[in-house]
This record gives sequence, C-alpha cells and structure tokens, in this order.
Amino acid sequence: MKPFDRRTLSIDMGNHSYKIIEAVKKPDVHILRYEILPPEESGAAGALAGEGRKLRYRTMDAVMSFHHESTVIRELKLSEKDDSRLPLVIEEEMLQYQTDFRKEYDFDYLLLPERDATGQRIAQTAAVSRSVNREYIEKAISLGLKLKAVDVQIHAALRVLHRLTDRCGELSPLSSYLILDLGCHSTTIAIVYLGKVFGSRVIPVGCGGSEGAPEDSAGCLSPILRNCVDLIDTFTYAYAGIPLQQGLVYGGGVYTGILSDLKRNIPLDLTDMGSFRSYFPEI
Amino acid sequence: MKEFNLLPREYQRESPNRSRIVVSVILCLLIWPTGKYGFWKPMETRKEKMRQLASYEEIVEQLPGLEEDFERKQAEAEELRSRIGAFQEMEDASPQHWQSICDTLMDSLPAGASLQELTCDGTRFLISGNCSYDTVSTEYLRNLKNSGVFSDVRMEKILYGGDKAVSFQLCCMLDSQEPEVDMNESEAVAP
Repeated sequence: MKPFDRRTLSIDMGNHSYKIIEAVKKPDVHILRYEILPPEESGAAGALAGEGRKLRYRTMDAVMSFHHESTVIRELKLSEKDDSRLPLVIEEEMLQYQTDFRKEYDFDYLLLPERDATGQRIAQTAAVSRSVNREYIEKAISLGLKLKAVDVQIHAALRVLHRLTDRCGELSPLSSYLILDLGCHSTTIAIVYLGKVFGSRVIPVGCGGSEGAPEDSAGCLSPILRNCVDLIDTFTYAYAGIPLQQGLVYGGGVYTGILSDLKRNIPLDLTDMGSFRSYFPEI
Repeated sequence: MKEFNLLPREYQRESPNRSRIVVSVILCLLIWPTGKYGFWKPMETRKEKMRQLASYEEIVEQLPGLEEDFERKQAEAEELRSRIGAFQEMEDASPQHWQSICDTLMDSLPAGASLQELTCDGTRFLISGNCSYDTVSTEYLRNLKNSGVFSDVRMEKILYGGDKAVSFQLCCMLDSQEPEVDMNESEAVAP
C-alpha cells in the first residue's frame, strides 16, 4: 500500500471464518473487495499474510472487529454541564459496569451532538471484556497485523445499513431494524434506528457454520428466538411509535435452515443481507 | 464522524495523520531550499548570464564597424590638422603677423630703454638695446617672457658703461603657435 493511500483493510475474525474487507474511507466509504477465508485456512497466518500481500497491503491500518457475549453497548444520559468533566463521568460509569458485571472492560464512547428532551448530553458507550479484547488483539498481532482500530461489529453493520438505505428504496431510513448476526459460535441481536443502536445482545449460541449442518438447530433457535422477541418487546415498549417492521440477517448462520424458522416465529419481515448484494456492486 | 475504537491505548500507534503531517512539513522544508538554491537560483543566474552574453555578443558584433569609424575619424582629424597647419603657415607669412610681433617687442620695452638692433632668422630673435639701468633690461626680459609670444627668453650679453648706463643683448624664440586640435571640435567640424 502506498504511504498516502486511503485504503483500509478490515478483518472480521469470526469463530468460523475470517472475513477480509478492503475499503476506502474518503471521500466516502467505498468497499473495494470482500473475501472469506475458508475454515481450514482461517487460522493460518500464512493465508492471511498472503491475502495481505495480494492486496498490496503492508498490514498497517488494519481494523479488526469481532462480536462477543461480553460486548456491552449502552446509551448514557449525562447531567453534567461541564463538558470537560464528561470523560471523567463516563469513566466512572464504566467503572460501575465493571463492578456490576465483575469484569474488566476496554471501552470507548461517542458523545452525540443531540440532547434528550431534558437537555442532557447523550453518550453512546461500547465495552468489551478486556481479556477477550486483548486475546483477539494479540491474535491479530501474531498474524502480523498492525492494528489501527478495534471496531464494534454491530456499528460496522450499522454503517453498511446506512449505505444500504441510501441506495435501496425498499429500506426506509426512518424505520428501525432488527439486526441479526448469526455467527458460528455466537449470535448478535440488535435493534437500530437512525444510525443508533437501541440495545444489543450477544448470546453464546451459534448456528454451527455454513455447511448446512447446524450443531443443534432446535437448541440454537430457541435462545435466539427468545432474545429477539425479548428485545423487540423492550424496544416497542420504550419507543412506541417508531416503526419496527423489518429485520436484516447476515453471518454464516443464514446459510443454515435457521433463517426460515426465525422468519416463521418473528413477526418481522426478515431479509438476508445477501439479497441486497446488487446494491453493493463492489462486494 | 468519529467511530468506536476499542483498541487500548497501549496498543495504539502514533496517529499516522500526525506523522504524515510532520513528514510533509519536513519534506516541504527540504524541498524549498533545495528548489530555491538548487534549481531556481541557478536557473535565474544562468538566464542572467545568457542575457549578458547576448549583449556582449551584440557589442562584439559592432566592433569592426567602430574600428572603421575610428580610423575614418582619425583620417578626418589628420586632414583638418594639416589644413590648420597650412592656414597657420599662411598666417605666419602675413604682414599682420609680423606687425603684431613687433608691437609686442615695442610694448614690452620699459621706460628708459631703447632698441638698437633686431635680428630675426625666422623664429629666433636677437635683440640689442640700451638702457639707463641694468634693472630696466631685466624688466624688459620679464615682459617678453610674460607676453606669451616668446619662449626661451634669456640675456645673452650685458655691458656696463659709465654713469650706470648698460647695453644689453637678449635672445628669444618665437613661440610656434601650433594649434591644439580638439577631436570633438574636429568631429563637429567634419561633415
């Protein structure tokens, strides 16, 4: 990669496979290439390095994302008036999380420009277990990657959705969406609205990969279904009036039979993200 | 828009943008003097020298003409000088010329002195005379010198008689009044 190249390489280090996404960030996000390393190669450093060389990357500016059950995404309302004290207040809140969950977290936050009805500042926070985060980071480093960032995967999906609603007339940008990432060993469920995540859960239940042979289809369907319904209920109760009619499903689990089961049991129009492939000619 | 970054601080590298800015500034700082003193200035100097060379070449091209002009002017000046010489000779031979010399000789004579004999062989004068005191003869000698008409005025002989009266003999050269030829003037006169 040339020194002033604006390309970015993102690697989704899933339990089942590694997904490599090459994109440019400026002037706007533009995906150049998407690649999935098969399971037998995904753990091999040589394969990843080979892919990097093929894309003419120097393994710099790598962005890693993963989902894990320890991921916590919360919205904080801050009554603090002094903006300079906000980082301290947020840090205190996150320390409170650590005490409550009895776990150490790596966290980051975004201060949203808008305020709530009472004029309080809103901060969106994301945290992940420190030990898990470092385990993935060390793994990436051992593969020869020089990390620029560790992204929150559901937020990455949100950016894709944002691009999709810009291009696709079937998806209204004013609707809320259920996002379902069916991973191999874990599943992420979130409801998103206007570029924000309203509650997200990562459950340690996976669909067993894309071979079409789920580990235990009935066993994984039940907890996924329960959590989806629970999240939908919570959202509908908390944000009455915001339409929630559609859901987008992606991840290896889409290729198992679970999607049809989910469609039958969730009162939303669930669509495989892959069906919007035509809107992403670069993928 | 800022995005989440869960990469812990200890794993974060220095912002590439900042390092790129630093590199760019250093490059600019290096490029500027290199460009100025290594390229722009030598080019300017070269252009200046080329201009000078062209002007010198132009002057050199005109030189044969100047030499010819100088020779022509020299010949004209020589001709003018010879004409003036001819005029001078004509003037020297004229009665008015000798009249003025005689007038000078007589006008320079102080009171108490008289001329006895005057010999002239073209340019050399031998003047004999008498005066009451020797001081009068020396005064005559000074007057001739100061007249501007004669040169090399000297006392050849002085004879003291009785009662302080002296006879003197002076020798002098008629100044050949060779006219100074001014080149500018001659150029102005030349057609």
